[in-house]
Amino acid sequence: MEVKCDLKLENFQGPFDLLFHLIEKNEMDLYDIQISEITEQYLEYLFAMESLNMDIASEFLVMAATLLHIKSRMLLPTVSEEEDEIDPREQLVLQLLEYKRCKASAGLLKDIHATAGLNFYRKPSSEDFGKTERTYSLAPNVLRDMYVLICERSIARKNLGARKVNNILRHEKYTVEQKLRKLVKLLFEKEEISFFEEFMGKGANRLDSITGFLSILEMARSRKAKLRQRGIFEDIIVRRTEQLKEDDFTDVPELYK
Amino acid sequence: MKDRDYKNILEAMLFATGEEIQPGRIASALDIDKGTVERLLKELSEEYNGEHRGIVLRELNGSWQMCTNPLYFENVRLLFEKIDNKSLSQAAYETLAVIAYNTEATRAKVESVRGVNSGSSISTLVDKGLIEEAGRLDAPGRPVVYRPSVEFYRAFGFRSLDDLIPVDTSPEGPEEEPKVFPDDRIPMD
Repeated sequence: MEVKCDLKLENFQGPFDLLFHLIEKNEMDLYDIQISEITEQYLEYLFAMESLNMDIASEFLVMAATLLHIKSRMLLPTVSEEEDEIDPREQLVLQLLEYKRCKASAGLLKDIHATAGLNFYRKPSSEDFGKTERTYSLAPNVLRDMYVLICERSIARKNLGARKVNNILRHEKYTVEQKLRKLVKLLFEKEEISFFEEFMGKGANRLDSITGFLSILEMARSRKAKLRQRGIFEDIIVRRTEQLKEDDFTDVPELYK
Repeated sequence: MKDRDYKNILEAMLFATGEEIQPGRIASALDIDKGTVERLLKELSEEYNGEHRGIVLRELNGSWQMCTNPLYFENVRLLFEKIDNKSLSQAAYETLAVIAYNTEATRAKVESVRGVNSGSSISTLVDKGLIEEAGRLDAPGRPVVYRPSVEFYRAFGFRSLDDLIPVDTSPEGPEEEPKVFPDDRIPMD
């Protein structure tokens, strides 16, 4: 048994090749494979391989699982009575056909390769021809325009950079802590203030408004002030409550600094 | 200039470069029509054939190259001490067949047809210069696509992939067979 299979196994290119061999040996119709018989013989080969301590490529095992799966599906009675029930063997047959074509064309290529290519070719010339010469026509005014364009672009880029630096510097000027302190001061002066006037008026930028808004929210949350707004997009009136003390918000969380 | 002069120039150019050369490159160098270059190359090639010369011109996937006449292969090889055994393994031929018959293919495509890991066959073919990378597929993992290289056309004597002999294995004759992976692509959804 062991000796019988020994030499043959080496020649199979893969599970498809082995299956083909079995189908041909049993003179089976490719379109009507007797799965049960083929599976049995296929597994016999694998067991033989195993007993010879040969490494079985995982592809062979996958195919064994596929065959068993198909076999079990063939045994089950079909539930639906539709005519176009897919044969569980279909996918396998398609793959076998494609492999058969591949094997046949490989054989053709092998034959052609043996007889063709009886030519000798020269090696690519070692002559250094250098790079192709090119002439560029440039009018003086084109050159000048280009220069102006480059200057303008570089100035614009420099300005852009400068603006970015400004933003970084300004960014540090606004903190919620500052705004809270300012609010406390204002509320002790006036008792009631307008958010729009103080934080969105002239000279205020977006950061003023945002930090200002965050600080009135914080005040309302800690019940130190009451907020009133008549309608959407209307001014917000901030009014201090009795709980507000003059030294409030001197020690704020890190987040507000 | 007459056709004769141009043909002589083409002949000289083919000799000078040694490697395969595209008609378009000759056309732009000589500042003449590409179609004319192709016509002249074909005529020149027929002249070589008609006169049974030791040198012939070969078309290789659109490019042209000078080489020795295969009739004198046995004689020429006597000059050389040893010629590499050019035959490939069965696995390599199968891999090459999948790539050539599909014009190009990814490793996954080769493996889906052959049913076995084909990485080493692909590296062998790349090492021998018979296939080359042709970019990457726009699919998950961006797999490399391989195609036959100029060396493939040289080694197999093909002018183009149209020279491949169609293979039909279905017992009922040439009947339409559904392709397992019609466009080579992995479904995205």
